[in-house]
Amino acid sequence: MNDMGFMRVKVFRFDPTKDQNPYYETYEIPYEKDMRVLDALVSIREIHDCNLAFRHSCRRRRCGMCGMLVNGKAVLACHEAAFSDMVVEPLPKLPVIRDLIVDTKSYEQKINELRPYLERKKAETEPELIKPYDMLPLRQLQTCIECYLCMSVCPVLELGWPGFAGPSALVQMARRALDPRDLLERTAERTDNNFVDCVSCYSCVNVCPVKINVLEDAVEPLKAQRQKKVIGRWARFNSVFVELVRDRALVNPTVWMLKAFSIPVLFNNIFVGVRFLMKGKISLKSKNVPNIEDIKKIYKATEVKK
Amino acid sequence: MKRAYYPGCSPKSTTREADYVSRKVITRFGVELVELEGAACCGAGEIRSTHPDIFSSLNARTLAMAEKLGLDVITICATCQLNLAEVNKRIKEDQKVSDHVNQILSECDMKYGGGVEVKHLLWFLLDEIGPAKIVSEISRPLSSLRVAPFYGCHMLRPVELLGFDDPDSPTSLKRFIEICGAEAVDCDGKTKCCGFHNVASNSKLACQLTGSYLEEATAMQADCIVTPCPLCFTMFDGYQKESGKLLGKTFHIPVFHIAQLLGMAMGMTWRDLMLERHIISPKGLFEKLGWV
Repeated sequence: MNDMGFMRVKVFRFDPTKDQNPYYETYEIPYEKDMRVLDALVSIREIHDCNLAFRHSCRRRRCGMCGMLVNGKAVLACHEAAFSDMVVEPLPKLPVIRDLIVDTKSYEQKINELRPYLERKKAETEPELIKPYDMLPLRQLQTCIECYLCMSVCPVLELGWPGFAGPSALVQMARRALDPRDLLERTAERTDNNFVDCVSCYSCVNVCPVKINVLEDAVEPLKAQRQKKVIGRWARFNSVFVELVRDRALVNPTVWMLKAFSIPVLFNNIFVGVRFLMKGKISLKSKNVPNIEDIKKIYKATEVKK
Repeated sequence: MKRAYYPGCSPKSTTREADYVSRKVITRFGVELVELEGAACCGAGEIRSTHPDIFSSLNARTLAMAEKLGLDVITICATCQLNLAEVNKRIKEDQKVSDHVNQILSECDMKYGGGVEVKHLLWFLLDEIGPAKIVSEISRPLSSLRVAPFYGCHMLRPVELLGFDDPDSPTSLKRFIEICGAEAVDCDGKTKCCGFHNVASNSKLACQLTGSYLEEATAMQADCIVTPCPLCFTMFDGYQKESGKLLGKTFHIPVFHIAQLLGMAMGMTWRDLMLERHIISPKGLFEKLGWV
């Protein structure tokens, strides 16, 4: 901000119907205390260019329409504090319709593929009894405003990984899969790629404006459902891992992979294995750990509780 | 100064050098490490996803072992740090969770009262040892070395739980590299994911993520990569060739654990640093530095 109380804002501009390439325009606008990024954009539109395009509606983190990048960080413009010399860009990885407006059709498609509605055998009767305790796991998930900030930072979506639904879609899937009224076998009918390929990086959690812990509240419960039925490769790895900790306390990756990998997968990893072996990185021996009985007792105690 | 030490699974198997060198380095600062013998795996991404009670109880047991010794815990793995910190926070903040976990722990006559702090070695070095004391132990500053930092997701996110660094613009590893006398190469991918937690179930996906950072670090002409996480190390060192193959490139960029980078600056030998265990040999780098 300069001495005159003005701030500079650099904004991404692009109209695919007119411009060959995107470009950036810098605007000077009056700064006001507690100004949000959205206020700055409105100000630019009023003072400099009424054609600047961006989506917004509620101005209070409810509608999820004003997602964009500010200095490379995915934020909601209505919530993020404005500051001088900020760079405002559209959410990445999506086609730009105009300026800061992106086409989110591909994300909506991913959500629709997961059938984001309750499936029942017959229509519910009124009044339907819903126990508050049953709805607890859904409480945070129901606050999702579908702003897609999480989708814009997901590294697996960035790679365009085939089949992967992405964080926002998985929140919608978990809302139904964890709902006791839903009768679909949602996790069983999907493939590993759909949700198990989440890399647990917490990037989505880091940007969520309504503080949904996508990993712990959606992805992990979905994985747990799938593991219970031991469906797919990941579930098999998981079962072997859990058993190894029970029996040896620490996991020896060599033993884990030998027990969990199928022969073709072992064969595919043979070069990595040989390299590791030559450097003394892998061994079939596992060190004896003291008090291993304690771990077995913990496992037993949790089984009883279930 | 005395601390409980929890190395976790990887430094006890594939990355034994991380365990060995971390102990060597920390002793130089007069810190006595008491290893929590008998502590179990932190549950990684596997047990934490599917068996929440076992996950909480195993980590609470580790914390209880440290509490019995009256010592705070040092970890050397980002995922162990995350899991221990998460269970610790839940137990400290929620009496119901504490009661539930302690009821399970009572089966093995243990109890955790929430009196322990968990800190990764990198944070411990920067926070409690401090730059001045670290510099005083450095005999061979890495002045001509360009080092690309790679944080590892679970050192940064979720910030509400870890909170040492800004998850979007972290500085701890940069500061650490500079204390060692080297130049930190600022790669955009430093806060991204290496894919380790999916390497068993989908190695192509993991190698693609690892390859992206290797590509960036190579383009930025970094001499090597340093990471505070042995799991990220395993990807960058152990799967470097596979990642290159997948992207149609040939990478050769050595990777170091943080303790190894500091150990190099402290004048430790090739053998003491256990560098013969690296898949990507740093021999060329040592030659460049005139140490061979």
